[in-house]
Amino acid sequence: MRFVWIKGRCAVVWLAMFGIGVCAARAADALDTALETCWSCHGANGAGNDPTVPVIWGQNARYLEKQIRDFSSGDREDQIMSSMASSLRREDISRAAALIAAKPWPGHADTPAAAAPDALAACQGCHGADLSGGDSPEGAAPRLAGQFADYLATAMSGFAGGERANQKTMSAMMKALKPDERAALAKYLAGL
Amino acid sequence: MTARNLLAASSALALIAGVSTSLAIDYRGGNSAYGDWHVDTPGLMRKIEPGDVAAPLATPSAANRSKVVPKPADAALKTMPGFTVAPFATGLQGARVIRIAPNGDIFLSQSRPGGQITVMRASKDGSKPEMTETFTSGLKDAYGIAFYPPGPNPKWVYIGMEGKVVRLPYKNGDMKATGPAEDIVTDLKIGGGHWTRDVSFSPDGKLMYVAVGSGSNVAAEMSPRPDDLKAWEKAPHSLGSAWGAKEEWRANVLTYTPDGKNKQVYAAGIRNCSGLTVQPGTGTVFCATNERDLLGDNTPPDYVTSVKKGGYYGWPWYYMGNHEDTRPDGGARPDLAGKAIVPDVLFQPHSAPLGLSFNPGGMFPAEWKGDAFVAMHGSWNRSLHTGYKIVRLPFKDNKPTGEYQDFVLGFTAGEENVWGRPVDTQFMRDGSLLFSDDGNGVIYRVTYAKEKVAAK
Repeated sequence: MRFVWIKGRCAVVWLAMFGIGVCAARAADALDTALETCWSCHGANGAGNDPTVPVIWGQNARYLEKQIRDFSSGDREDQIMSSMASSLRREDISRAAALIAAKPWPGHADTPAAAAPDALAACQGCHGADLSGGDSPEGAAPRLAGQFADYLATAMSGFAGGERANQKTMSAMMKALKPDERAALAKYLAGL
Repeated sequence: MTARNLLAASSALALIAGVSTSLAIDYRGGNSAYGDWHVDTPGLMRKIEPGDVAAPLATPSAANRSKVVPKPADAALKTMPGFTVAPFATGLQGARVIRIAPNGDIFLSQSRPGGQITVMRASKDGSKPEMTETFTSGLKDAYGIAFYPPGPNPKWVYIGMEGKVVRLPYKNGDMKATGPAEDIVTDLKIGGGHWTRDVSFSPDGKLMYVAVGSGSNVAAEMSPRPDDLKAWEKAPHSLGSAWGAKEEWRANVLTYTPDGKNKQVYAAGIRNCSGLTVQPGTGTVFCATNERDLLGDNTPPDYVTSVKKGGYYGWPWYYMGNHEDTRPDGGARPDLAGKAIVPDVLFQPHSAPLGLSFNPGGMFPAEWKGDAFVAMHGSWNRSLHTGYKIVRLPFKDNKPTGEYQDFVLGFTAGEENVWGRPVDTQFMRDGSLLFSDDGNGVIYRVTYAKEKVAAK
């Protein structure tokens, strides 16, 4: 066990065995504040009332962690998310992602079931046969099943148009689809 | 209201009396100066003092993203008596910074998604563009625009992009660039969401000012700390310069020579100077600055301030003078206590002031000559929206009084929707005021006719 002085005022007890920092009351505050703020948009029970804002409760932890880091670095762009993410230290980002991922995936008011589009098979390679996400060789793939259709459509067109560029395979695959193919996918995935 | 505020109120009234004696000015100081869009009224004057700043998280930190909608049928912009606001040009997606060339042509950066500079030549009555051309395109995140050398016959137009400053050949009357963009500065730090890079020149043309916002909200990752901070803060850095891969050379106004060499920190601790303007006549640099997030509805104020060479304005360790922020990584800075300059004009927190310009006179009331007009992009980190308007900053003897007045408002449509997000202001040569809106891609023009007031 060793003591490390960080942030000038806060003695952190570093438990080498567990790799866990204790104390860091200020860091905890930052995380609590950030999480409180998350729920303003993402919903107090995990699904907000704005279908352009994704469901995050129960999402793949590695995916969440990468997105928060990308927002912080600017690799993924959004004014609000950049500010929120860049307010967190590295360890807070990991903790936030784990915490959010551990919550139950919520249902939300609903997109009816739609017929499976042809392009679906390509998604299942990384996002899993049931589209519930997973860890693929390309990186952590988010859960798509039951996500908001509006959000999915925006994410897909963002990859296709270059506004979102933090996953190369997704950029290539979405560019290869026509807008109506992407729309059909979004509708189908939301209805799962 | 304190005695001082009352005094200021009466002076504000006297100031306005020349415009319209029928206009009763509502004046708010102290805690009453704070508030959301519901209390906004054309003519309302506010003054926020550093001592009035609410404690961190006195209210929870909220996220309330505005949704930009087309103009509702029953919506209209509101302004003060005698003034008229009308669309000047529409269909300008991502309209951001406006600058007027010496010949009166209107340059506009349309930063996103493509990054282009559009030039408009106004009709004789100034009400609309009679010619519109794309000056150049394909400049990612093109934002700041500056003509060089200063004076009537520029040879180049400089463009600030997120990672660099480029220049293109220009002579009066050009509506299309006659040559390619040439890299002048290529080492601006990128990332973290603060991508606007405003550019301006000193009146003598010797210095180029470039504003670079911070790499994060409040420097949550900036270790390791330099061993010797005193040495770190010597040129080319300056007092309060942040460090680390994410934050070095950021939250600054930088200076270069116009050839892009001799980089220096001109001033530090300015979280995100989105609007950098050199005051005509004095050459003083002014910044419109977005302060930090996640401290609650009314903490801390955004601001406009004159910027002193070597000045430290607080970010990330302090705000509004000696209010300490305990969130930055890398430790507290008791050595900086009392050294952060209090900005000149404090705004309702989260208003998001972006662009400012100075009234050269010629159309607006004579008493308003030299006043600054600021565009507020509007809030997200606040329970009820604020900003989304144009405000006037009274100046006396070339110095801001610290007050600000609601000038053009009405873009909010309920608690969620807005139909405009003001970005920049700029005066046309006839003294009318243009402002840009990147929500719906519009430039508006504000005109003034004294007889309208007299007729009332």
